[in-house]
Formats: sequence, structure tokens, C-alpha cells
Amino acid sequence: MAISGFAKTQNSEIFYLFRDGRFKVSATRLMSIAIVGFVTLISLSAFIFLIWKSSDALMREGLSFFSTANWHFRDHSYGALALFLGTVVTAVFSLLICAPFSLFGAWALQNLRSEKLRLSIEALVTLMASVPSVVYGLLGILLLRPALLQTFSFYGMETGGGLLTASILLSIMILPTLFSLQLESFSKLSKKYQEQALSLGLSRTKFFWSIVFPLGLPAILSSFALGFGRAAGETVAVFLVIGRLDNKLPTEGGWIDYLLNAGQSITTKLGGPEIFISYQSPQHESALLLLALCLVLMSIGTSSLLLTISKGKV
Amino acid sequence: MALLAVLFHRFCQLILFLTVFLALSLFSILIIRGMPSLNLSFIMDPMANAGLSGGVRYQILGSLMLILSAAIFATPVALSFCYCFQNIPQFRKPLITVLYALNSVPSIVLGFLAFLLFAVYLNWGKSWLAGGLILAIMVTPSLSFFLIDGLRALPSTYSETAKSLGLSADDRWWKLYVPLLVKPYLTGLFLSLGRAAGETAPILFVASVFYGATLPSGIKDNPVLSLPYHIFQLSQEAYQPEALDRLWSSALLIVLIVLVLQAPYYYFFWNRNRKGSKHAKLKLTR
Amino acid sequence: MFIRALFSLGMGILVLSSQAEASIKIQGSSTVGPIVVKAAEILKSNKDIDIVVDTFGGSAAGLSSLASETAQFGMISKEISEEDKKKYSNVHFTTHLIGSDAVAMVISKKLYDQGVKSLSLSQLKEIYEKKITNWKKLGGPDQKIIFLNKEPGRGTWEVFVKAVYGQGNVPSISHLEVGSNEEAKSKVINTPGGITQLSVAWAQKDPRVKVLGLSIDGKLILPDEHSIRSKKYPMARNLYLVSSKPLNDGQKILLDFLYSEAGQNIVEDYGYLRVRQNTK
Repeated sequence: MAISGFAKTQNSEIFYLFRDGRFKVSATRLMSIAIVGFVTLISLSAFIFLIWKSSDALMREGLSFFSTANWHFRDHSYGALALFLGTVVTAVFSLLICAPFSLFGAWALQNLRSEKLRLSIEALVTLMASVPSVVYGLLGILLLRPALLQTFSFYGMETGGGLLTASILLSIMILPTLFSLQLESFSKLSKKYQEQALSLGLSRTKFFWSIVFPLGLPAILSSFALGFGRAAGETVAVFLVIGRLDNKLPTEGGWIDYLLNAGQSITTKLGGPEIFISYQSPQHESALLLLALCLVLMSIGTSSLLLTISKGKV
Repeated sequence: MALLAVLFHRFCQLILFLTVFLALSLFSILIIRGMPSLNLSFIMDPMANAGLSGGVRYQILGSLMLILSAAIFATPVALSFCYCFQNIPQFRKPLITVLYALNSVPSIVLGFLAFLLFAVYLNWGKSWLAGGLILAIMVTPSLSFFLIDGLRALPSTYSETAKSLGLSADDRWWKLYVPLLVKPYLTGLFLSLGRAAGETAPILFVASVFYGATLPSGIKDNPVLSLPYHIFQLSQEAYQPEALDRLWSSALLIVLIVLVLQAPYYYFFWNRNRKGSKHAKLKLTR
Repeated sequence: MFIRALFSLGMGILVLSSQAEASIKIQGSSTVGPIVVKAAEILKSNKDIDIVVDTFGGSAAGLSSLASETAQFGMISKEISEEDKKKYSNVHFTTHLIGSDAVAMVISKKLYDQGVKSLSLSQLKEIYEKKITNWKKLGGPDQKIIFLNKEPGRGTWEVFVKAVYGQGNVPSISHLEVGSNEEAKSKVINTPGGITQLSVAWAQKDPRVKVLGLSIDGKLILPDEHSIRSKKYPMARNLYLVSSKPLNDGQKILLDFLYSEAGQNIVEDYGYLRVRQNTK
């Protein structure tokens, strides 16, 4: 590789092998670059593989992949609208449920006078993040589903499992993530402006709404993006409580019925048996890979959204 | 006005209280329901009767094998990322991008791709090594970030002194940075391994089975049992009374294992916050 | 230091991979699963053979893992269909009968006590096609019918549609899905108004679920040994181990054990029917 004029900085020695007669590239350097390059290459090829293999399904289905809810693999029809809707609705709902808890909870935590109590609670909430998703799924099946069935059966909930159940479970799962990010932002802002606010005689509440919240908005939004990405990508816990009913849309029965009852999301579709079934069915496999690609694009999308928003902040 | 302010404040405290209550009940339920059946024989005995009796010996061993191999593969990669980040400034932005991208891939997609690569294309069948490699990919970004942050947190006088002493970049790396990176490395490693130990989706198709595997004797066609997959399968017959007890114990066990693995992180977290030292900049929460 | 570590890791992997795998991998139906798991436990202690069993994905996964050579035996609870043969055209399947069973339509005991005792095949069809949506039309309480459909990859599902639709086209209707027998049983107990397809043996062993009789030509047929063996009960099915290559020693030992008195006793213990010498 003769990328000689690669960079005009002082460290432009990456690819010069000989300089002043000395062998410039060390074994460590070579190996590190090789390893990093290898991993990057693999990731890139995996991505290209995804695109290449799913293009077949995209060309065959065209727009109907995204606009119809007609996923019947036995008939070779792959309309994934219900799947996309399921993923987005559960993720958005989980954010809606979780956001007030994390925002206001983090603010209350920030204003706790006892340092020890504050650290303990912060540790406790962070501990929640350490619980594996299988365990959350288990708790969902054993505790959440029966409880919700009792509460909502009057409104039309049939099995206790469904999009609402999944959303609630997801909101518990993303709570620690949102919580710690927002706490960090509140802590920084408080440190910076607390004195001035006090000297102006602002109450804590006014301090929050006029200063901390507006200035912390980039951080808050980026935490939402992170939470959304995490919720959209969560498989096992959702798999166990969502009921796995294909092709249901809110148009048939209204939004309440849609939310309270079973549905399907992209991750639960991918986590199911169709992966095995699709072996030696190139069409089916291609459609599943297209789903996976969309999911990856969604996750990378929210991740880069996060990066750009957080660049806006300090 | 003042009334509203106080109301809001109380409201926030109520929310916090509810959140703490939720967290506490979560752990309490796990402990209360899981403790009774969690005894030494549960940990040491192999599974019997398709999970309805016996213990989880090989599930624990299988999970250990998976995360150990993940650690072995992730370490050189994370170190390489850190080295390149440190010594090749032009690569910094692309490297961070790659790491963020890897980190944001949903685990089920990784599992699906791993299935296609290892089980189908390479014909490895179900293999513990495939599981380890996939988990290594999951562990690498977070471990790399810990290392990179570890370097950033070092005062610049270290590198300045080393440079002024005439140490080459490599010498600086091995003799100065690597020893200093041991602490962030261990913290990050155990934190990430703890997370990997609880993952089900990546190993669902390529490494884990429900019954029969003990210790692997090769690479191809050598699956392992694992705790998360065990819980996943067993939770589907959750209303069988015998299964129920074992489910709770397995769940408690896996949470305990994860917490033990992540304990160093929490220890440093506690101390760091008390001393008030610098916050890590690239915080990768999951 | 780095390099040395990597080198020894590489050597280690080479050494490990040079050893042949000594166990039999079996993947497939959750109906056949318990039999094989029990047999494997016995063989492990007696003959020190390693058998690895997984039921994720059901009968479909059994066949596909044979095709992808991820397993040496597949377990299926149905016949190999024309569709399967077309799909895996490059694989030659050999079936080994180890027992028989039937698929029953199962509801919770509560629902049974409230008046739902049997169904005709045409009623089943209408339930499946969502034309009947409430149990009160079938003699039961005013409760919405929740059809917990076995995943389309499951042997149980294929047996069901074959009985209800014969050779005709199965309409593509989405229902709530359940996977393994374990999950189906759990969910039907806990879902008010639920009905699912479940192995008869599993249903009979649990007092919380009840098997619905099928009324055929006016006669009520319950899945018992006589009606299953005489095929009067339309959803009878065989349980097979399937192989795609000549059997190795370990596999022969497993099959011999399953055909033996001890093995067939296991089959019966789980509620299935043993293989009669003249039905092969």
C-alpha cells in the first residue's frame, strides 16, 4: 500500500517503512493495525453481506415489504409492516413510560442532600442494568403478564401478553440507562449553575425548568435515542411476553385492542424458529436478512443521532 | 407559584421513591423466590429430568467457557484498538465510528449472522467457539472504550516525561501504558463479561443446546449448555411446579454471577464518586 | 508477550480441533424430545455415550439441521411431507419409528367444565379461520376464542392442518403462536378461552387441561389407544428419529435401545404408544 502522502501532520509515519534508513514500523504496530483492520474488514463484509443477500427480497417485494402486513412465509409473501410497527410502537411506548420516571427521578436524586444515599440509589439503579434480559423476560411471564391481565381484561386484554406488556417490560429495562445518563447531565449542570441560581433566589423547581432542562436537552434527547435503540434491539425479554401474533395492525380493531393484545416485532420474528425454517429457502432467508438489515440501520441510525446530539452538548 | 414548586419537588421525590421501590422489589423477589432452591447441590449437580430436577453444573461451566473464550479473543482486539487510537491519530475518528457501530448492532442480528457463518457456511454445527467469538464481538467495543478512557485519564505529564526520556512509541506503549491500563482493563473486562454472561440471543443459534452437552471435546459440533439459554427454555414451561423453583434459582444464580463479575466495576464506581475524580468521557451504557 | 499468548492459543485450538467429536447431536420435535433425553440419560450412565438434544424450532428444525449437518438425528412428530422432500432435495431421509402419539385439541379444564366437550372438524376449521370467535356458539361460556396456534414449523401443526384441510390449501391466517409442547400447555392453562394443539400424552398427564373429542360423522372420537392405532382418530401421528447418513455406532446403540423393551417402556411412560411389531 503506497499511501505516501497520507497525512501532512507530524505523525505521518504510518506507512513509511524506511525513513532515514531505519525500519520505522514495529511488530506491535503492524499487528495492531492488522488486528484492527481485520475486525473492521469482517464487520464491513458482514454489513455488505447483509445488503447483498437481502437485496433479493427487496427487489422481489419492493415497497410492499414496508407497506403491507402480509408475512406468510409458506405463501412466500413477506409484507413486514406489522413487524416494523411492532418494533417502533413498543420502543416508543417504552420511552414514553420510562421518560418521566427517569427524568424526574434523576432530578430528585440530584437534589438529595445526603451524598451516601445518592450514591446508594445510583448504584441500585445501575444494578438494575446488570440483570440479564432473560431474567426480565421471566419476570414478565411470571409477574407482569398475570397482573396486567387482571387489570386490563375489562378493556379487552385477552392473554396478558402483548405490545403493552412488552413496552412496560422494556421501559423497566431501559430505565437504568436513561437514568444514569440524565443524572450525569443534571449533575454537571447543577454544579455549573447552582450557585448563580441560588443567588438569584430560584427555587429548585424553577431552576430545573428554566435552566437544567433546556440546557440539558441535548443530553436528554441523546439518552432517549440510546434507550430507543436498546428497546428496539431487545429480543429475549420481548419474545417471551409479546404473544407473537403476526400481521396485526391497529386498523383492525383500534389502537386499544392493538396495544393490549399480542403482536410481533422484528426482533421476536428473528428470534423465533423461522431462522431454522429458512434454511435452504433463499427467498425466506433473504426476507429475514432484509429485516435484520433494517434493524441494524435503525440501531446505527439512533446511535449516530446520539453522537451528533451529544456533540452539540459540552 | 411557590406551592407549585413544592408540589413538583414532592412529585419528583415520589417518582424517585417509586423507582427505588421497583428496583428493590425486583431484587427482593429474586432473592425470596430463588433462595430456597439455591443450594450447593443445585450448583454442583448436573441437570436431570430435562431440567425438572438436578442442578445446573454444566450450564454454569458452559457459560464460563463462553465468556472465557470471549475474553481471550476480545483482549488483543481491544488492546489493538486502544494502541491504534493512541498512536495513530488519523485513525481516531474512524475507529470510534467502528466501535460505536459494533456496539449498536442488536444481539439477535449478531446471532443470526453467526448462525449463517459458523453453522451453515463453515459447517461447524453448534460450537462453543462460535459462541465465544460472537460474545467477543459484543465485548470488544465496551472493553476498548474502557481502555481508551483509561489512557485519556492519565495526566499528560506521563507521556511527556516518557517522550523526553527518549522512549519510542512502542516502548511507551508496553512499558508505560500497558501496566497503567491493567486496572481499567480488568474493570472493563469483568463488566463486559458480566453482561456477556447474561446474553441469550447471540448464542441461541450457534452455541447452546438444552440437554446433553457437558464439556466440549473439540470445536465443530460441540455445543455447550448455558445458564441464560436454560432459563429461556425452562421459562416456557413455567407453570410446572418443579420447573418453577428451579427457574427462580437459576435466575437468582445468573444475577449473582453477573454481579460478582461486575463487582470490581461497582467498587471503583463507588470510590471514584467519593473521591470526585474525573468522569469517563466516553460512557458506554447499555 | 502478546505474540506468545496468541501463538499458544492457536496451538491450543489446533490441538482441540484435532480431536473428533464424540457425541450425537439430536435436534427436533419437543414431543419426541423427552423420550430421547431420558434414553440419553440412561445410555450416558450405562454406555458412556454423549447425546446432545435440543428442541428449539421443533420438527422443522429437526429436518433443517439434518440438512445443514448440524445434527446427526432429527426428531419429527409427523410424516416427511412432499414439501419437505422438495425443499431438501439433496438430502435422503431415513425414518426410524419409535412410537406413536396423536394431536389433540386441548382446552383448560375450566373451559371444559363450562360446557365445551367436543368439536367437529368443520367447526375446527371455522375456529381456525376466525369465523367462529366466541365459545358460546359451541356450547360454552361467553368468552372469546383464543387460538394458540403451534408455530407452522412444528410437527404438531402439520398434523393438525393435514387433518383439517387434507390435501387442500391451508389459508394463511395469523394466530398467536406457541412453540414447544411445554409452552402450549402453559399458555392454554393461563389464557382464558384458549385452545391449542397439543400432544395427547402431554394433555392426559396434566389435570389442568382437557382433551376435546372430535365428532366425526356424528360419532364422538376420543384419542385413545384404539382410535389412534386404527387411525379412526384423524390426528394420529408417528414419532420418528430421522437420519440422513448411514448410522454410526453410537446412533445404532441409541436406536437399538429405543426399540428394546426398556426403551419402549420409556415411550409408554411418557404417555405415547409403543411400536407394535407389525406396524412398521
